[in-house]
Parts: sequence; C-alpha cells; structure tokens
Amino acid sequence: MKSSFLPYCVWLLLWGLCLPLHAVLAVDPMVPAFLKSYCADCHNSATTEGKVSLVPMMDDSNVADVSLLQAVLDAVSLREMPPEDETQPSDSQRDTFLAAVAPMLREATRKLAEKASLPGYGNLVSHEVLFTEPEVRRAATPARLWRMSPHLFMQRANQLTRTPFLVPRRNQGGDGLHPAFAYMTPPHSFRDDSSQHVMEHATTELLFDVAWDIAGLQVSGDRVAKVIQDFMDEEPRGEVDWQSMIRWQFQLALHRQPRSEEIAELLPLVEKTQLETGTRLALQTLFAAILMKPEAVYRYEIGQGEPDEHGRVFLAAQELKHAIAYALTDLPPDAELDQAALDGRLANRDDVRLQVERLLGDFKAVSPRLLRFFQEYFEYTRAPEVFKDHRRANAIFASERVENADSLVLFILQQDEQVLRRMLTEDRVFIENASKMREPVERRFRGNIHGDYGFPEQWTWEEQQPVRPPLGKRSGILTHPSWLLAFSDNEKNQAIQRGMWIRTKLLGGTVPDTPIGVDAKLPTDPHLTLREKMRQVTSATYCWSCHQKMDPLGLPFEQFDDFGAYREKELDRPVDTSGAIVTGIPEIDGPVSNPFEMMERLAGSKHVEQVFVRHVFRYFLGRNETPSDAPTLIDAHRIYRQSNGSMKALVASLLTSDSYIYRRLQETPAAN
Amino acid sequence: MNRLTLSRRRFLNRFSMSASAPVLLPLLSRVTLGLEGDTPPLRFLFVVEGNSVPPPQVCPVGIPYRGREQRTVFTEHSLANADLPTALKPVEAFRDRLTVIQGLSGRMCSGGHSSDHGALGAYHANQGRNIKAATVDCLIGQAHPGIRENLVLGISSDQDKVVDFNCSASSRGRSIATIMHPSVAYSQLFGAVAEGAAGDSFRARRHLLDYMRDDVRRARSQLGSVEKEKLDAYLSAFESLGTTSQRLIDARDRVSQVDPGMSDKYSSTIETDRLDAHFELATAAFVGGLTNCATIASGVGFPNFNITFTGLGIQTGKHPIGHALYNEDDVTGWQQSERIRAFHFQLIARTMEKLQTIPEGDGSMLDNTVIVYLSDGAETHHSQCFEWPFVVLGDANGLLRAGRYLEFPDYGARGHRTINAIHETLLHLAGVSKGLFGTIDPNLDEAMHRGPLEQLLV
Repeated sequence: MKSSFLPYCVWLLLWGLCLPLHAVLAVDPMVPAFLKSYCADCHNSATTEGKVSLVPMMDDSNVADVSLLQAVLDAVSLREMPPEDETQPSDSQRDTFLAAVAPMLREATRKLAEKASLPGYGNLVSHEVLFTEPEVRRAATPARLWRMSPHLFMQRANQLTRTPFLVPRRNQGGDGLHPAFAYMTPPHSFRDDSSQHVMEHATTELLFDVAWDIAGLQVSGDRVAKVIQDFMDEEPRGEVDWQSMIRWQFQLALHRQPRSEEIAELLPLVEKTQLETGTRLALQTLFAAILMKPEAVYRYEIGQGEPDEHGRVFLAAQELKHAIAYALTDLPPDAELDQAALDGRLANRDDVRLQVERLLGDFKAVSPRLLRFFQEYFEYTRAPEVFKDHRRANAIFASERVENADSLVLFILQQDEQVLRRMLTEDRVFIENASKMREPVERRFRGNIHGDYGFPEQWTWEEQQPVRPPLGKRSGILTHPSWLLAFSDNEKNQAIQRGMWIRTKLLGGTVPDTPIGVDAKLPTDPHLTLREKMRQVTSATYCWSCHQKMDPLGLPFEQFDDFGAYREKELDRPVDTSGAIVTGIPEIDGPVSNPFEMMERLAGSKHVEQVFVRHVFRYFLGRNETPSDAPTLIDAHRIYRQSNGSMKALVASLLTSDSYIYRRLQETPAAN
Repeated sequence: MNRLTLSRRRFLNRFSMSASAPVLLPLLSRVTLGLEGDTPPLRFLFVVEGNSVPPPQVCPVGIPYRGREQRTVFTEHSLANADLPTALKPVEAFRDRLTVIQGLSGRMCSGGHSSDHGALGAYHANQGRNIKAATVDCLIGQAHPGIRENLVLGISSDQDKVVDFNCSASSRGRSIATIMHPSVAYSQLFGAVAEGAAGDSFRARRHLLDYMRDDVRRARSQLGSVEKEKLDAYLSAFESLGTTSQRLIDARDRVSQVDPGMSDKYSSTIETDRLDAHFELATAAFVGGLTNCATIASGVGFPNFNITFTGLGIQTGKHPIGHALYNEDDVTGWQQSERIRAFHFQLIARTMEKLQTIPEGDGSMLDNTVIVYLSDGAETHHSQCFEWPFVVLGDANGLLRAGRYLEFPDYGARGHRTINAIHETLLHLAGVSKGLFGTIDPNLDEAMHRGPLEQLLV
C-alpha cells in the first residue's frame, strides 16, 4: 500500500508546495476518526505541538488544508507520527488511513489547480516554485482556441466595412466593443483571458447579426470596395468569379488563402442562395459565412509538426503571425508578418524575436496594448464609475484623471527605463489645461481639479509636462488622483481595497473571499477617522486574520483625501499615515511612516519586480502562470533587470519564450 | 375578483363568426387548449429592479409597518380592504392576485449595490467571478421553453450598452445576455417575421445558419479534443439558432399576429420608453408563445442601476436617490424612488391587463401567469440582505393563495425563511422542484432555505 504512494507523493508534494490552501472535499469519515484517536492529544486547539492544529480537519471533515494533509500523510506513512511514546495505530489502521487520505489529496489538488487557473486566482501558485529553476525546461501553453477580443473585432469590422462601423465615443459611454465579444472576466483581472470566453447561444446570436450587417455593408454600403463593385457589375458571373470573391474575403478576414476544400464547401452555399435570393444576398451570405468561421472568431493556437521530447509542438506560421500581431497590437498581421509567414521566416525563436522587436520598435503601433496592460493592472480606469453625491462638489473630472494617468504611463513607457520603479515613484504628473476640461455640468460646482493634483486653484497651466506639484508630494500611479479616486467611494477612501491591491498585485499574495456570515459595517461617528473606524471593526481576531493582509498596506494612503488631494490633517488632527509591510520577505518587511516610504521600498524590491513579471505574463499569455512556466518567468525577470527595467525587453522575452511559442496538446500533471 | 368573465365558448363563438377570425386564429388555439383538457405551462415574468426596495415602500397604508426586529412570528393580512402604497397603486385592480412578502433574507448573496445574479440565483457570485448555478428564471425557461427558453431584457444607465451579463444564468459559470436595446431585442424576436418569413433575406440567413452548423462540425472534427467544449458551444449555438429559426417559420402566423411593430420607443434614449418597449416585447412574447419565461432587468448590476428617470420628470440618478432614501430632512429621494417603482408596476399592470383579455383554457392567459417583482440588491442602498421584499402577482391558476400581505419572522428567528425558499416555491409551481435551491447562509438552519413556502400555497 505504502509503496504505491511514493511516486504519487512526489507529485503531490510539488503541488502541495504550490497550493497551500483549503479545499472543500468529500471525506472518508475514518480520517477525522483516526486523527481524533491518534493526533488530537497534541494537536488540539489548546496544545498545538509544532504549531500544528488538526482541529479544523477533525471538526469539519469537509474542509482540508492541502499542505497540512500532505504533512499528515508524510508523517503517518513514514511512521514519524504518532511519536514512539504514544499509542500507535495498527499497521492495518495506518494503511486504511493512508488509503483514505490519498483520494482526498488528489481531489484537493485537482480543485486547487483548477482554481489557480482562473482569472483572479493566479497568485495561488507558489511564487517560490515559479522562480526556481526546474531540472528540465519544458514550458509550453496548452493548445487552445482564444476568442478574439472585442478590440480586435472592432478593427476588423471597421477594416472590412471601410467605415467607422464600431468606434469608441469619447465621453458618451460607447467604447466600440461589440457585445458579441463582450469581456466576461471578473474584476481585478486581465480582461482578455483565453479560458474565459466562449461563443455560446446569446453571443453567437449577436455575432450572427453583426456579421450579417458587416457583410451587408461590404456588399452594398456607401464604400463598397472596387473589386466587389466590379463583381456585382459583371455579367455573366461564373464559378471562377465566385472563387475570386471567396479568396478575397479569406485574405481580408483571415489573412490567408482558402484551401481547395474550403472553396468547395462554400460554392454550394453560394449557388443555392443565389438561385433563391439573387447575387447580392448570396455574396452577403458568403462574406458573413467566412466572418463567422471558427478560425475568424477564435485565434487558433494548436501548433504543428512532430512533438519534441516534452510533447511540445511549435506554433504554425499562420498561428504565429496572428499571435505576434495580437499580442502587441489590436491590428491584424501587417504585410511584413504576412510575408514572413509565407516565406518560412517564422520557423524558430530567432525569427519570432526579429518580428517582435520590429513591432516593439514602433511605439505608436504597440502603445495601445502596452497602455491597456497598465490600465488593467492598476485599474485606475475604474475612476469614472465612482459615485460621489452632492454633499460635496460633485466635480470629479474622472475622464480627465484617467487621461492624465494614461499620459504618465505612456511617458514612462516611451522612456522605457526602470518602468515599474517609475510607475511606483514618479513624483511628477500630467495635468490637463483647466480651460479644456470637459463636463461643463461639473464645472458649475468646481472650476478644476488642480487642488486634487497638488496645485493651487489659480495655478497657471504649464505646457511643459509632466510637472511636479508644489503642494504635498506624489509617488507614482498609486498616489495619482485617478487611482486614488478609483479606490474611493462616496464618502471615504477604500483603504481595505487599496491594501488588497498591493497585497495581490505587488506582493503576489492572496486574500480569501469575504466570508458569507460577515456583517461588517463601519461606524458612522463623524468624529472618527477612517483608521479609527476600521480599528473598531477589523481588529477582532476573526477579522484581523485576513485584514492584517490589507489594512496596514492601505492606510498609508490616508495621506490623501477621497478625491486624491494631499492632506496633512484629517478632522483637524495630524493625519496618521503609518502602515506596515508584512510578508516574510526581509527586504521589504517592516513599518512604514507614509505612502512615499512604502512605495520607495516596494519599488526597490526584487520580489515585487517578480510579481510584476507574473502579471505581465498573464496579460500577454492570456492565462495564469503554472509551475512549468518557471523558466519563462526567470528569464523574463533577468532580462528586465539586465535591460535597466525595460518594458519592451520584458515583453520581448515573454513573446519569445517557450511558453509563448510552444503548444502542448495535453497538459498532464507530470508536465507541471 | 376582477377577472374577465368571457367564457371560452362565448369567445370562440364570437370570434369565429367575425371578420377578425383570420387574425385571431392563432390565439384560438389557446382557448382550444382548455377544451381539449390540456394545461398550458405557467408563464413567469421576473421584474428585477436595480438596487433596493425599502420594505416600507411595499407595505399597504392600512397595515402597520413593522421593522424586521419586531417580527417574531409569521403574520398575514388580507389586502382586500388595504390601501395600497404609492408604489403598488397601479396594480390596485389586481389586488386579489397580489401577494406582498416581507422578511425573507438573502445573506448568501452578500449584498452591496447589487447582488449580481444573486437575486435570482440565491448565491454569492462574487461580482460575476463565481456564477454558481442556473438562476430560477432560466431553470423554469429550460423546463418549459417556448420558441425560446428565456428572454432577458433590461435597461442600463449606460445607454450605449447593448448587452450585459448581469442578472440571469443558464448554468454554472454561464451568465446569459441581457439585451439592453429594445430595437435589438425586437429584431431578434420579430425581425424574421417582420421582414416576411418568406423574404429573401430570411431565406439567405437560413442557408447561412445551415452552412455554419456544418462548418463548425468540420472544424470540430479537425481539432479533435482541443478546446472541444468551446467548439461544442459554438456548434450548439448555431443548432439552437437553427431550431429557433425553424420554430419561427412554423409559428410565423402566430408570431406575426403579436408583432407589436417597432415604434419610436424601441430606439428611444429615454429610459421610460425603453422599459415600456421591453414590457411590450415580453408581453407579446408570451402571447405569441415565443417564451414562457421572461426577465426584465431594470438597471440591474453596478453601475447599470444609476439610471436617471427623466421620462418621469426626475433629474436625479438612482444612485444619489439611493443615498437620499433615508435623509429624514428631505423626503425627495424617497418620493422619487416611489414614483420610479410605481412606474414599474404601471407597466406590470398593463401586461396583466393585456393577458387578461386573452382567453386561455377555462380563463385567461393571466390565470396561467405569475409575475415576480423583486429588487437586485435587497432592502437598502448598501444592502446586507437581512430582508428582501418580494411582490408576486398572479395566483398560478389557483395554486397560490393571493391577496395577502405576509411577514416572515426576523433573520434567524424561528420560522424565518430565505429567498431560496421563495425561488423553490416558484420552481415547485413550475413543476421543477429541487428541494433546495441556491446556496445556504451558514448562519441559518438549512430548513430555513428549503421550499416551497407553504404559507404561499393554497
């Protein structure tokens, strides 16, 4: 019995290290019974020998801590426990216990691995494992279909119709993103996750309608392409003419030529439709059919060729050119990428690097995608959703704040040195000329937002930007009025959410979901500061076990009010901006006296840099990292450091990594 | 009882002799259902209003309002002589079909501005991250589909938003689209019929659907096991669209008779017009057999709920109104909230009136229709879901004991019940009882979640 466990234990140990978490399980009742008989004396709530309490596993047999289960299994199977001087189970009892624990661990591991792959839960994978060189490098992404993003679809629709068919409408709520391709990723995670989006009934119905509309505009809109017009004017039309239309649409929509069987499959559709409804509708039907082919809706990333010794295949040239273009831009592959694929110049890592670096050299082309990474990472674009009522000036100028933050991000990206450090410490800001601020309704209440940025109300706008605010101090995006507003609510700062952001996105930690039974409500006493109110509610032992991970990280931002204005007093008292970083990592741990000190310490941390690299990985790979991606992350972080913190170098490293260019047909536990 | 008294035989005689017969023939089939002894499935209309319903707003004037802490035992009051509150005035004519339910809790949904699928799912979806199961409307729609299983319509503060995934879910992890633009919903429901079922465009689109189904099948066989679920879903969508299209062809006469026609309100930017159009569509969908379960999500989810009801002369969004609800110095917010709610009940009443005019079986379509009104976010603006008012209209063909105001005991007290139980009651009415619906609040006994609520049934 025991010997059959050993290989399994090795695998479990790996995942156990990665996922020290709880899972809800179906449990053999003999497990808690065994623990109560042989372990409870030393590992109960009062006597936690070795700081190990088995009470939760004994009391609630449905919940198991994977790492604890692993430790119990090891101790019992190696006969380290119970100790020699304690009552021993019989061999038979021991074997029965081990046999019962095995499926529990297997199930717990499966559930937790599944959870770790979901957007928002990437941090469940052990940081240490991800930055430890494995014995064998065999990173790859599972073969996949990645639904087109709405940003890509917008460009394609506009290109096909030769009109601004889908466009963002500034300040009107329209973002040009068609609902057929709606992002359904949960908050606080990167939107374009490859596992999240499926064309199901509702979205396919919307796609069917919009594809029909696009094809209609191609055939009979105001700006019909000459080649189509000529086709329509031509009489008589033969099969060859229809074939040319098929080729034309394939090239435009899929960036490739159709195979002969694909032409053969489409011709009967054309013939039947033309016979019943006429040429124009037949052509519209044909165009719509190509627009809805699975390959047009999903990015194919399957790979081709013979698998290597690790079961990996290289992405096909047709797939690679799309993967490169879509990673860096919202546009289809450009002519050079098309040609490289045709000429066989996308056959190895060096070929990919050449194309990636070429595109990265065109800042204008790649900046929208790079900017979107930082928008989604920092989440400051949520600022316009924040509600402030009329008790105070309701002029938040949210759009301007977001644009100013965008400008700062682009400024840092363009210089491309020490990017993360500067994102966390830059003390200058971009600020729009007050006379150009929109939202006239808001201006009735408040002339401008100079004060929130640290400028006097009557400050004369300076064209040379960025500028250093004369009042107070700033330190990067987390002290930017857009981020501070995004993480505020109607009447106060969201110190807990701010702390959670730092815990998860800079420190790579996790915070459990709010327990259902929690009835947390801050006191409304106007004489108390937010810190004092929070202390009354979150300092109870039960609450503090989670809040200690967030509150001390979020409270230093009390340096600013809930509009983002710097302040030194709160309720006529000196504002308390103290906090603490507690991670177990000596380089960053310790108290902080204000947000600037905290930002400076975090910005200099290697660990924080690595967590940042993990997030960049998620955005560009469209999935969470797994232990097998360790070499990719190690290389990316090394190159980021060697390049003096270049974002372009970091992205290039990721896009030329095994994780990006190899696909594995079946992900097996052994591969992890 | 304020019911249409036209018997089915009188109806048949009257209309079979009249010039209207060709137009109304499809509707006659509803009457013959009763003659042949068949019972049509119950129809359900869920009206979910964004943000909260403060419990006092649905308490009749003649019945003393008691805060939840004061409710120690289950109590009921007849609505026969009660003076309905402002919000419910529009359904006064249907008071005998009205049930107001106070005191159900929904703590498993967590609370806040929105319960985010929790109102109809009785679970904490964690802002859409974790849609645990099908919502009650979808379970009912799946059990008794019309041409479509479900119809989910809604409005948002973002007028440009065509669709959102904010209210209903067809299965675990699968939110279904709420169509926000009435013109888009109209096109999906009646587009094919409106342009003529025999029209060229309709035929071309049918061919396109057939091709797509075959094309996705080919792709699926080429890819083997890679992402099979994604291509299966895509294939299933085209098969389903094809089935819907075929059902529309088969029922085109019936559907074309109920086509409300796309008037200006379908493309209006005014929220009252859009809501009005959605109710019109849902009603027509019921009458035409397009669905047996419709959901209207009026500003469900954050920030969708911050709608400014300019059509009612209100210039304040529902978010500031929510904050102003409990301002003792100024009742403006409270009154605005009541007017907005009354508007919803005005549209509900219109739907009921329409259904009441259409004979079905031994009575009218209204007899076989249950309308459930609830808020998305329980009892208050920043809710904690300790109580969640429900308003039910209809007696489910005699299965519900309507015409009453019910108060369940306070949270955790003996006899307390949760929203799981009322949803389970609805599933029971629809014949798809699950025993325990949704997830449970760990601070309450499991029995408090189980349904049906015997107090509602005859």
